[in-house]
Amino acid sequence: MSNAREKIFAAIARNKKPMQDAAEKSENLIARVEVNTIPARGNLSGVAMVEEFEKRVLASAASIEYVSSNKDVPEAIVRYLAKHQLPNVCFANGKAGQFSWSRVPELDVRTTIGNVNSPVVVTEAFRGIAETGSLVLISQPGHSSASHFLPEYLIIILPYNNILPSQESVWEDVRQRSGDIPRTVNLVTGPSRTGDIEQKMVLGAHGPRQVHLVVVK
Amino acid sequence: MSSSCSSFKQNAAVAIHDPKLQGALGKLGDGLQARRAAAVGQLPEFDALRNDAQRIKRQVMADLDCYLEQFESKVLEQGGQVHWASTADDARNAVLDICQKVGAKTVTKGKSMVTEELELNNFLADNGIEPVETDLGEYILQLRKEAPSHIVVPAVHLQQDDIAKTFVKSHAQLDPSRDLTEPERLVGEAREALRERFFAADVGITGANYMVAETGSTVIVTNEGNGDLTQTLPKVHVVVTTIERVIPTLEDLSTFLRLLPRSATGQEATAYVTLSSGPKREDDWHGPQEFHVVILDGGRSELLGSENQDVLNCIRCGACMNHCPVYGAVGGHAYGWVYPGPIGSALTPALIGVEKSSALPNASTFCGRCVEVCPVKIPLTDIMRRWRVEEQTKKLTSPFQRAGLSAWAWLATRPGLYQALTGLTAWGMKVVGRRRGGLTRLPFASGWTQYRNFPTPEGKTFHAQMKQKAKTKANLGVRYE
Amino acid sequence: MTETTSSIQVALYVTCLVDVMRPSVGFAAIKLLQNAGCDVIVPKQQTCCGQPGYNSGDEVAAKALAQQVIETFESYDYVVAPSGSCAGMIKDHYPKLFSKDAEWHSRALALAKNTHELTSFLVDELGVQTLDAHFEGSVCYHDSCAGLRELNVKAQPRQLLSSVKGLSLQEMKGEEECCGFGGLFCVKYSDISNTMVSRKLDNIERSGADTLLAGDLGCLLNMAGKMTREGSTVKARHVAEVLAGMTDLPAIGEGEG
Repeated sequence: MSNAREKIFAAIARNKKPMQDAAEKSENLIARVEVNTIPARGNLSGVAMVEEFEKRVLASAASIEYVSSNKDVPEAIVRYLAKHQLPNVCFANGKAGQFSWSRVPELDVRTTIGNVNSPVVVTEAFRGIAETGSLVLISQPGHSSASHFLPEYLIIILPYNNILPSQESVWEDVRQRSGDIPRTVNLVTGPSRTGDIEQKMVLGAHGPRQVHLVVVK
Repeated sequence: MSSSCSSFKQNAAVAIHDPKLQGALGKLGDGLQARRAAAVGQLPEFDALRNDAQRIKRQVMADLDCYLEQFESKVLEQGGQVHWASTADDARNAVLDICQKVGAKTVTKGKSMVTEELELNNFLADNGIEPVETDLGEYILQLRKEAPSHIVVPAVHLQQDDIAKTFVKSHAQLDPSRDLTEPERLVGEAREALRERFFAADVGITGANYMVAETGSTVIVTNEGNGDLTQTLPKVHVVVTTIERVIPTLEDLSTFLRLLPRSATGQEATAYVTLSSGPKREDDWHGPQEFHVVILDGGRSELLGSENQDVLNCIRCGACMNHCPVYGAVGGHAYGWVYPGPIGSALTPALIGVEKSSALPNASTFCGRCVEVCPVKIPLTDIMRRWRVEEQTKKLTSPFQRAGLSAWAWLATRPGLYQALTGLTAWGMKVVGRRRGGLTRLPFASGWTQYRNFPTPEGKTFHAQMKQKAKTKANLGVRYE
Repeated sequence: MTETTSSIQVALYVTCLVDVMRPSVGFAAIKLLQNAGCDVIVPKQQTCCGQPGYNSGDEVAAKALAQQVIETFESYDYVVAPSGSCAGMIKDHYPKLFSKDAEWHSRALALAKNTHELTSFLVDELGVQTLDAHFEGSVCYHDSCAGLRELNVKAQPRQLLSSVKGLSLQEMKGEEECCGFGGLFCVKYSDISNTMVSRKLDNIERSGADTLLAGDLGCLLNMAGKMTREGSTVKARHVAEVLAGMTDLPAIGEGEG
């Protein structure tokens, strides 16, 4: 296919026209442009930012609750399962396997790869985005990206301090990690849905029908 | 894909008399149009974002080769492979080659208009590989053996009962008398039917809304989660995309992610945005072992640097077709190729030739609603008009039209003669139509009088009256000079 | 009534459709401009703005007519047309038409700067807020595409109509949707055009208004022709007729009985 590559690049080189205000162009083509607009809604901080986050999470048809520490996460999961009359079984994805699950012996917490297709999945988010109420989930060692999309119920754990104002602030943090961008970065905003039947939105297309967020203060 | 653009008029006539189709299209106003308006109304910075997006796209096009090289080198660096395809044939063969090397029997597919352009499903099937569409709309159409009629909502031309009938027929193992009257039930049934296919697939094929040069990531923007399962579960992920989809940085991606869902479905954000970069890392539990990006030119590089270059800025949101009164009257199939609506009318002539597709850019009143809603401000009507110029220059228009326009210009550049003739015409029509106020038949304009009356002129033309007033000095205090 | 300003020279571009089909619109425009204190001139040499050729890809024909319009009108302070479509052609499209011809391009730009659609000229340039007019009835207003999207004509006609005594404005649904005229489009793609104008007629009828107004005669002929064919009782008039209080003549497409 190298022939095709040459052809394409030759055609582009032959046809492309420089921008009229080429003077403004940076030497480094992917130098980050600081002039892109970030909406006011994505520029909040402190309480206003968290309020915006909660508002957008709810608008995306996800639910949200706050707990005061990591220790309280297992009880929160048990409460959620009871509320939805679900059996006491879940798959804890990657680092979510490290919560103090022993506090809730009634809950069957599974952590092996054979269980990724469970009806309830608990997973940790890398960051939350206030502007849109999105959760950023990343692939990492010992973690299943597929399980973000397989269950009926997806429960996402997010440390309070990882709520950021905008996508841009998340990209900053992604760059600060060592190495390349993770293989898979999922921005999840509410449950899976489709508008393919007469333009009506129906929740739970191929992915989770419900997304529940537990914010750890 | 083979085209039937030249039959646009006939296709349209059929579509207009299809009550089911008209019923489905009639829902666009209160559906996608209203939702977009609401979402845009809630974001005061929407127009500023449109300007940013246009600037970013123009910046990319001015150095497209450099951005593509940057993207390619990042993909390779992360262990992925890039396949360049000058033509649709190149692209099809590249995909087939990848599939055959891993002995693929079935491939799952996320929604991709580029693979429609390639007619990839038929090609794979002919080569013994079963393609399975997993986007709900595309799945329905695959069962019905139909092409998408919209680039975002592929089955928008169907009503719920059409889909229920298709499911009863295709999911023959289920009770034929089951209740499928709620869309939730149809969605649930498709979910069940496709779940095992995701796990069984050898290769997952998706498109890409964007390629990020900075990180070598391909990005898909979806709601269902099917594209994500398609690209996470099989051992091979193939991205099929086109050269103009590259953008510089993650920050630029964020700008587009604010525009695309609002413009497409009136959502603030879609349920999912997924960035894929190379194959899975060593200790990741899921993700493909092989990551391939097939990048098609397919005639796009010839648009670079041309007056119509901005058509390459399209982010495939579908807002132009959702708001187009012509699309709203005839639906997407009438356009006869992959991309319907205003973007199709602007893009198709570039990709398959104006000779085969000149009916499309002509089928517009230039009402400008598409330009008004385009998130990257593509001057769609100007581009359609330029295709008309090319059609006229190549003498592809009817000799009758060409002669008529020349005669009109000849006459109208001779104001004295023009006014004498228009005076006679107005008087003539007035005499014939005075009593009823309109004419029901007109020579050379049966297209008008087939459906409407032609209102009768008042009588004397404006200029005739001005001349008369000037003579009698009852000139209203107006200089007629 | 507005106070009389020191006389502003305005050349009326009457448009070919008004000239032939509905000259009263031209006289209504003259009256409105004069009442606003303008010195109105009607150049004799005017015919067509070149849109049929331009929109059909015949740039040779379009340029010939555009040059005639530029030559005829460039010496006046302002050019005003009772049409968003023709004013938009001059303002928005002439400069594009001559983009590769420096001399004509600058002449086109100069003319574009001085050219206006009638109601927007009255409101935006002359600051007219109210008019002394009377019209008994309920009206709906169709926003013609070129005026709306090329010239931003939307609030101005409504502002003026709100001062007309006896008139109530009853907006229709989809007032910004194209009526399906589109010049030669309505003849070349008559089936599609008919679908569009039929939908428009539905919205007009549902508004409950007894008169349809618009600022472009092309759209009005299309909609009036459909209304009379379908036996609708809604009347069609150019907005200038109502604003100038010149509504004695039969509505567009209405017979003399």
